[in-house]
Amino acid sequence: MIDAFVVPTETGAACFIDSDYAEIDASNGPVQLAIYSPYEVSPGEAAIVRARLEADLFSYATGAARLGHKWKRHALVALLELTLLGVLVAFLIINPSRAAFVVGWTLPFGFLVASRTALDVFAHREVGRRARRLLASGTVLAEPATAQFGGSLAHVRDIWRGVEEGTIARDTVALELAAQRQLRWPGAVAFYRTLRGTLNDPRQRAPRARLARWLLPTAPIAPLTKLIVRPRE
Amino acid sequence: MIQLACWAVPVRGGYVLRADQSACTAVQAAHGRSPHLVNWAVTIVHPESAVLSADRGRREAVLAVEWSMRRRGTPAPEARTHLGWVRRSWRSLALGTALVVISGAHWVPALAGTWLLAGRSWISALLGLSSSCPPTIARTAVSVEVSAAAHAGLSQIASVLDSNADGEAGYGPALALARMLGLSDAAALYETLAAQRDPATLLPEIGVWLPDTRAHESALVANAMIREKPAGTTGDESPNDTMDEFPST
Repeated sequence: MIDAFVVPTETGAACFIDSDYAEIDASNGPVQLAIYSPYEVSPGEAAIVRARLEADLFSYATGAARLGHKWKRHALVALLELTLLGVLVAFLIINPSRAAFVVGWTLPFGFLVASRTALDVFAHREVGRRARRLLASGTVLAEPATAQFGGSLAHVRDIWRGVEEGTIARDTVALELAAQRQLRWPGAVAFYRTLRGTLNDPRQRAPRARLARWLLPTAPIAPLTKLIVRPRE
Repeated sequence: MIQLACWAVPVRGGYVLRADQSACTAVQAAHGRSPHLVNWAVTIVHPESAVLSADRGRREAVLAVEWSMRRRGTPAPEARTHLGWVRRSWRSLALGTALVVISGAHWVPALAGTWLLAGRSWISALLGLSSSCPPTIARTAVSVEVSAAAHAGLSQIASVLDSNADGEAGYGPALALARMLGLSDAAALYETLAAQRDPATLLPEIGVWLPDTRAHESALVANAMIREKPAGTTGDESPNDTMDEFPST
């Protein structure tokens, strides 16, 4: 089951999907989308949410299918690299020099890459297995289900009630704070934070942030946030 | 089946069918899926007031999805580009260069530097651990199922267009509403139409034109009447009026 929530925003409403794709196992049956909304979602809106969910889900699976694949070979490369690191450290200790000192402390940045990759591949081998299973036999049911899980329904109901009664302002920061402090709803907090970051945060566009993103590449699988926005009712 | 969505964006005189932004990703992700799962189920998303059936928009919807892949292009995965490789390996490259430079006559730092510069990637490629993704192939489905579903946002846009039927305001109000509704695909289309008024002449990458049934039928009737007029005798013009245009010699 994948949950999609319709929540208030500054200009109206938006739909976000709060689900960890890595946990989805196709051997449990087809994937079912459940939409939690305070009002009836039109069939066209549901079709768009479903199409975007499916595109994201299988795009994720295509990337994640490589995780955990050939982990023994990765371990072999890591072992080779660690051996080389050991020989080099011994050499630098036996032949101390200023250059050796300067280079010595940077060695982990270059010689622990294969080890980190091997550990990563080993740790995520189950995720990769699920992704491959998803690609092989995973399907998303055509019709979204009626959302029934009580806790999630209560979250959606409470945030809309707060906005309608005026206890929560129609402001992204206020909505994020309400989701964090009053509702204790991590999915909504992450959604509003993403919304604030992508739309309003000038720091994301600053040259320094861009340089940091270029130098430190992000994880291969980006988190999911897809917006289907509706106007204020 | 791959679930795809196609917008039937209301314009004056009909609709422009435009594949949803997710369609290209969904089709590209199909290369890893089982062959029996890669057929398409396209949902045409239209305004409630539309006289638009799945059968009528079937050909245009499939065309729109196929052309959307040309619109988005096929971006090379970052792992396959040189820039991506440099970005991921710049620390190793810098350290490897430093080790080779300071190695002097010693083979140990030289070997370590060579490992960082080329050895690791060579061994990885040798063992089949290269991080390059398989090429993404946008394929056309063997079978396509098309359905239609009404969309609340598009219905609002359609009513705005109907209320401004004379077209004086252009597509400005529809564009503003599409932006407010967060319908970025519709907004992109209206932006294009702001410069190019005739939706029938749009490039297929932007959208595929589908005339409204009612407007289309009335145009056909008008054409038929025009064709029938010279042969018929029920028109207001007398044969003499027609003869005046072609004076006898």
